[in-house]
Amino acid sequence: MRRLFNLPTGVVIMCMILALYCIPVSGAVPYPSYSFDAWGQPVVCPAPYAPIMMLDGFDILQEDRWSLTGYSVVPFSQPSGLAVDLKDHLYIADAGNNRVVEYDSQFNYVRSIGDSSGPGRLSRPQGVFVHEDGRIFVADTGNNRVAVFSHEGEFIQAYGKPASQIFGTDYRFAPVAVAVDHRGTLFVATEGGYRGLVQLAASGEFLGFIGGNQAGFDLLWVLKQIFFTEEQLSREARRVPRSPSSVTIDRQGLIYTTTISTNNGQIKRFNIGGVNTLPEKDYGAWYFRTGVSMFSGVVVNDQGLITAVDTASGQVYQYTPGGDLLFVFGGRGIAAVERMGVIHQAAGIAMRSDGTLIVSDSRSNTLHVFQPTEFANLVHQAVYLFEEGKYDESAEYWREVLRRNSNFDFAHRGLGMAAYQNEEYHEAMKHFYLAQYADGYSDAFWWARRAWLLEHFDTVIMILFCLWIGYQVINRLFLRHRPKKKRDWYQANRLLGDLMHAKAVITSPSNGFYDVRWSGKGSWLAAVVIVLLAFATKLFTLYYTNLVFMSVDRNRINLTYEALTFILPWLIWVIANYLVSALKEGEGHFRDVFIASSYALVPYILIMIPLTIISNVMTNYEATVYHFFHNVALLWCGLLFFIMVYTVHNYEVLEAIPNCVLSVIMMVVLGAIGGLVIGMTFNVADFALGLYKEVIFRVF
Amino acid sequence: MKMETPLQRAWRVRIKPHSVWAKLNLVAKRIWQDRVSYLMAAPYVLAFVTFILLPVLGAIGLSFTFYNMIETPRYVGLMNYIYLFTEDDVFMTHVLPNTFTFAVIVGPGGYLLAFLLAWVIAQLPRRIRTVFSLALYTPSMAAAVAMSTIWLVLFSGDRVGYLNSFLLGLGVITEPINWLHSTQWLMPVMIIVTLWSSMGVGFLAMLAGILNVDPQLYEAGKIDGVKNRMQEIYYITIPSVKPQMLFGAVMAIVNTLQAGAIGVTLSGQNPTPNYAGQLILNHIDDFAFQRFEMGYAAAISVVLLIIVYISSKLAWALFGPKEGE
Repeated sequence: MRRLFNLPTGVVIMCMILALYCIPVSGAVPYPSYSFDAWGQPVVCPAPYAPIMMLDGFDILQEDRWSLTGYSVVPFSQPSGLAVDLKDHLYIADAGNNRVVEYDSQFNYVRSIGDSSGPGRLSRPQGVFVHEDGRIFVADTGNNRVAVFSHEGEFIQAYGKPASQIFGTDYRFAPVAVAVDHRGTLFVATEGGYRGLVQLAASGEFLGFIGGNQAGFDLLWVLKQIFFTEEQLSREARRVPRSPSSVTIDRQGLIYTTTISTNNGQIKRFNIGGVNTLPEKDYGAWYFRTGVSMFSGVVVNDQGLITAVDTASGQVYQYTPGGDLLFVFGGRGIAAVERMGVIHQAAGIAMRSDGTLIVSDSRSNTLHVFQPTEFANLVHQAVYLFEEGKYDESAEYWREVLRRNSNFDFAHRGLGMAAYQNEEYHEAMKHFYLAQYADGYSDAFWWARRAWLLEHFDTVIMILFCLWIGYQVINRLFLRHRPKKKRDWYQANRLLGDLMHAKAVITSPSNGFYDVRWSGKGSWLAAVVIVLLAFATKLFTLYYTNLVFMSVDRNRINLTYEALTFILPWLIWVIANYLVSALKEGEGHFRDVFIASSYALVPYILIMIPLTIISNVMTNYEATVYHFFHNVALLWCGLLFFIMVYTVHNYEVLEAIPNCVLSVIMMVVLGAIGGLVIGMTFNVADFALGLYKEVIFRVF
Repeated sequence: MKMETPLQRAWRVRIKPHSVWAKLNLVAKRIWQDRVSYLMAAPYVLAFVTFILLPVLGAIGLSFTFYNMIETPRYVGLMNYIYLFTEDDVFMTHVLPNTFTFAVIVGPGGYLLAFLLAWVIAQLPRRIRTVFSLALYTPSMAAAVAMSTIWLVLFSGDRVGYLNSFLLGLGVITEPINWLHSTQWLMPVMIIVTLWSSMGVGFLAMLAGILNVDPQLYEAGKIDGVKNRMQEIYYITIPSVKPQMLFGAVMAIVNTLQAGAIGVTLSGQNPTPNYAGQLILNHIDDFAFQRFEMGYAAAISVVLLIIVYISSKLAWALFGPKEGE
């Protein structure tokens, strides 16, 4: 009887599968897919996964006394956690129907687990896990226990709330997800379980908490603890760490958790000692995010590839075993239209041995099945070899990946590592540069530089020695006894003289600025030239600094933006400082502030240009040198601005401090007003344009 | 009128000696004439040559050889230097960057600190001043004792170490940091401890210099329009103690570049964990007394000497007497 009813649906699904296997899956998918460049910017890429079907559970027949046939169709209701066993059977924790549903590898309905009464009755089960020995562990949320069923679906036992004193009597035990290692130890994620995963021995003995998150450091909270009374403190909301929202385990016994409502360390990988072996970073993509990440499910395949699903955005995230983001695909549907591959509220995720992904959608009560495309398979294979350290073998896969998607930066990283391993450092540098992978580039460059030095060291020493000798000879013969005469550049040219006055400013700032104020040194033209030179220096550093020290993506430099963030603040500073000083009895005119402020930028030009050039022969190991001189340039400029304020306005040194602070505040105010005025002007212009169009449209 | 000796005449009319022998003869005669001065200088010159010049020249000579303290040195030319700058990865990737980081922060930082503290102490009444200057000078004398009683306890790597305990209590960190054995933290700890003990001879010299400034100068300055302490320091104190400041700067440079024991003492290991606190002197020590490659160690010493020389030149350029001073 049962088989009779099952046959047609099964055939239909089989046909569907066959049909879809034949259709080239690289075709249109209903969502965009992205890979990421080294700067964390999304790059549209070919779909790594294509949706192949949607399961809604309308093929599930359950005995029903009240139905005429004795059976009724019970589709999914809030399907949550998913699991796949070794035979690729799919298990769904169907929370709304208080059951766990099993599908076979062809997505045919096999059976429902969970008795209608007795100890085997489930209540709102949210998670399911299939052990390698075939036992089925169900996170039986409503019953506050983990229920265990045999491979045949018979109820065996249940793990209730641990009686241990360490566990505590008022700590809730409502499992939402469970994972079991090969020894039979359970790792249970519970609702509101801020202490971490509950670790239970096979016997049910409480072993402790593992993988808890940290509440983190909060200055406000520390201050409250110091100043608040007991009573006030008790009224404050408790600061508790976020609880793990799901848990899974890989073949090696590493435990993976996800955490919701956080933007840092959403995915963690714990070893048996409870140490997180993934870097603590943002695993979401800030670019897509509107609020916080809500990672609700994670799955790991045998190659260590991590795939997680974010409820907030409905997107599936895939990472390398090292935690680097490979792909993001999928997305929430806009309307309440059910469409294959469009996830409304992702709840759980599972992966079969062939790489097929299944994501449960607890709002539209469906499961979405995704199949990896050829592109994704190539990437996975390459990543697998890459993570194994077999860079050379991975190289051909990376080349193949690049042939399909030349924007896939990670591939260049892989090729770079392959070249690096083969000691082809120039080749490695080229690839690391394309991948914008600074650390790798630095290492490869270090070796290339070393090889060059090894070859040319004696030549270099000889040249340096000859230069030194030459300098000494020339110095002794010609320069030393010649009387030093100070050249007056003003005689050559007015502008040149004003520009060369910068030398006086940076060597003795007080006198230099004094001359600007009272001896008429410097001019508007010279000041503009210096500011433009400083801006040119800024652009020069942006384009020609070694990749190792770059903090911005060279390909995304926007000239207007750079000008707005360099010249405009400077101009606002001049205006703000003049206005503030005019009120505070400063003696400097607008001209003096303008010119003196431009001279204050000179150290930046003088240091940054040589530093930028030299940075190109430096590596990470010399980073201290670079940062030292960079900071010297900035500090020197800052100091000059300060000296400028008290010299030009004839202040006391101490008077100049509040003046500078006020000027900065004034800058912010001016910036805000400027933004407001610009915004309003645009609005008015927009209105006028609209009116004009309207009139044209109506009248003529 | 006294008779002119032939030598004095030669001196006066600048007769060119005809042959080399005549020249040497002339020089010998001049030396003999000034024999008393030479006698006076002899003890110092002898000591200098024996204890400083010969060892330095010896080191420079050794740096061109392969010498393992058992066999006779074997001349290898520039090989040691070539190896140092091309093959010695530890030197290029850890020792040089570490030394630079350390010197750049500890050198100017310790120098500024020494000057500021010397100035502050100079403002105190005489009796307290002595106590304070002694207290500040003590760390540079008794560094080893203080190290084990203060710093090793403060930076202890377990959760009962003072700093760990404090930070754990605040919730800034969640598990104790092994300050003295982590590659990330050893260098900052070294810098802090060295800054703390940087009030050495340079500090005392500057203190003496500041105390020596004529009070009349300050009064004159006040009459001429000096309004605050900042101007006082800038226009009177610093120009007056320039020689002492130069001395302090040179001492600071030499001390920072010669520092080496600090990382080893703090971490209790040589080499320091993952070379995190390895300075040039540790590197020399490593090659000289653990691997017995004396020639190579001598080459590193020569490089250190050159670095110190260049830095001192820089200090002279900054603080040395200018033309017309």
